[in-house]
Amino acid sequence: MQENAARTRAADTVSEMVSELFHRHARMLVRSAVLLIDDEGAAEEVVQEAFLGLHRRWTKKGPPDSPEAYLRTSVVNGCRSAMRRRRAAVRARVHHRVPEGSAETTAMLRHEQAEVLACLDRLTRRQREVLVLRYFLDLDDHQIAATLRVSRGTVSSTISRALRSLEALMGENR
Amino acid sequence: MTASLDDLIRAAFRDRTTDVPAPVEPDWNTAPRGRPSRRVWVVLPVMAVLAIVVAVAVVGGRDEPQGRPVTPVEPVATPTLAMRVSERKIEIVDVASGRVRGTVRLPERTTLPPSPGPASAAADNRTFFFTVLSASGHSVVARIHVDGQGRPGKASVVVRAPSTPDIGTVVPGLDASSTHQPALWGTADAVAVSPDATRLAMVAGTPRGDAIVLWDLGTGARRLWGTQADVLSLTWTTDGRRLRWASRRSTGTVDPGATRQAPPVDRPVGEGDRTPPALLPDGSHVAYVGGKAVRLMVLSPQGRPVRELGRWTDASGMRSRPTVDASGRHVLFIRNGAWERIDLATSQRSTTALRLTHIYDAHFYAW
Repeated sequence: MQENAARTRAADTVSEMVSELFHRHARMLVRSAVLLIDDEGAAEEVVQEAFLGLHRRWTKKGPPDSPEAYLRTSVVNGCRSAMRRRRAAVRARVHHRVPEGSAETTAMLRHEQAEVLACLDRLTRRQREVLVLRYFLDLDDHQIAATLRVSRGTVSSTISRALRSLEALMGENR
Repeated sequence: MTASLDDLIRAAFRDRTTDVPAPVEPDWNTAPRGRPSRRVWVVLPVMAVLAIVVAVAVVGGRDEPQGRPVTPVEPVATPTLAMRVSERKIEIVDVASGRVRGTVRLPERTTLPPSPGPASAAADNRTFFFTVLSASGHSVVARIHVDGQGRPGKASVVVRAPSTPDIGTVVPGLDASSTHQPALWGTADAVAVSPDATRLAMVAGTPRGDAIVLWDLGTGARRLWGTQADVLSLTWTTDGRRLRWASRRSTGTVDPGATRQAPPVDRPVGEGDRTPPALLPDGSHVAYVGGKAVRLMVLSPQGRPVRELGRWTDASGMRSRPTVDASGRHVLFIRNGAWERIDLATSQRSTTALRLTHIYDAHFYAW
């Protein structure tokens, strides 16, 4: 009886801690996932699944070394799976949209942003991932390497290659 | 362009997602717990036992190769073969002709990392080391020998990256029990085999610092040195007695025979630092300097120009980190989308049949 009560208390504590992490990080993770798969519904599912996975893992084995890093890796992996499923279903390229703005002064910037997002589609999956992790989540090379499970050398060379590719692709469009 | 590319990317990402709402929080108490079925409960212990048996046979046994003699290799005057490591496969290629001599079969229960992992060639140009992931996702290093025709033999795992607690014993400030460290194992950021191929060095990275790990491949004995620098490159001195390392901002030497190590030397981040430093045995490094008007330079450990190896107008915009051979004398580099080689002793340059075919083509060579 006492053992059951202790177990319930422990489960509640885990739920509280995961819930706190959810409120702190979920929206940023959904935004990151949107940049990776360009589908808000799927992005939300991926992030919810990542948190549920963290909750399961925490309950069974205790907290991971870094819950934030665990979530980031889960989201990236979830997005990869979602992309694989989508590629299998529709062999179509994802197109980005940029929210419309009315101010004329921002028109040129909007155009360039749209171009960046369109060119992002033409990068490799890994190049896209490192750019999102670097420029949206502001992760450093170490954190990106840990998220993607690659070496830091790979991260820096992939970022450098991605930026060069992006520049070249944007140049092609001019 | 009205903004720098960095700013443009940030703004595009921010604006694209600014209207994305927060997701609905799941009900943690009724969430599926992922409890396996009764049948899985029966199968799991059996699988676990099998996994342990296999792990001991494949990883444990190879990781500690005690009592296995390793014959020192004889260096060749000029390397002719290179290991090409890409996202999909590892091949042995003839540098001059570009012909593929053979595709490397990975050790059992290992996979290629999502992006090409570090590799190293021994001075005999017949022994190669490359990084793969074990079944549990740890970075492990495998070794192959190739025959006279360049055909690769059977690959075997020789070492694996140390665990974070092990790295924590030498990296100042790394608390391996904290939540800052997401992985329980270091990642292999660079590997370098000694000139005689009897010892292997690795940079095992963590977010808080790196360990330089040295194995005696004959006995399995391992030593670690820690640093808080982000070590990106590692090489041996020509006599095989010391290791040189470099990060973007500093460079240093590890002397396994010394009880105290010399402090690292700071250097400013220069133009030649867009790719990780391609270290030479004397601590200097080879780098591209410049944009379209590019120069291939030897830079001192402090980043000062030492020698110009070539200059050209870069029409392709495609570059890849120069690759120094095991002797430290020959360098492969990209010139207008094609790999060329240069002999640093004679400054003689020659073309190769190796091509960087596409801007997305992620591969590198070890030779």
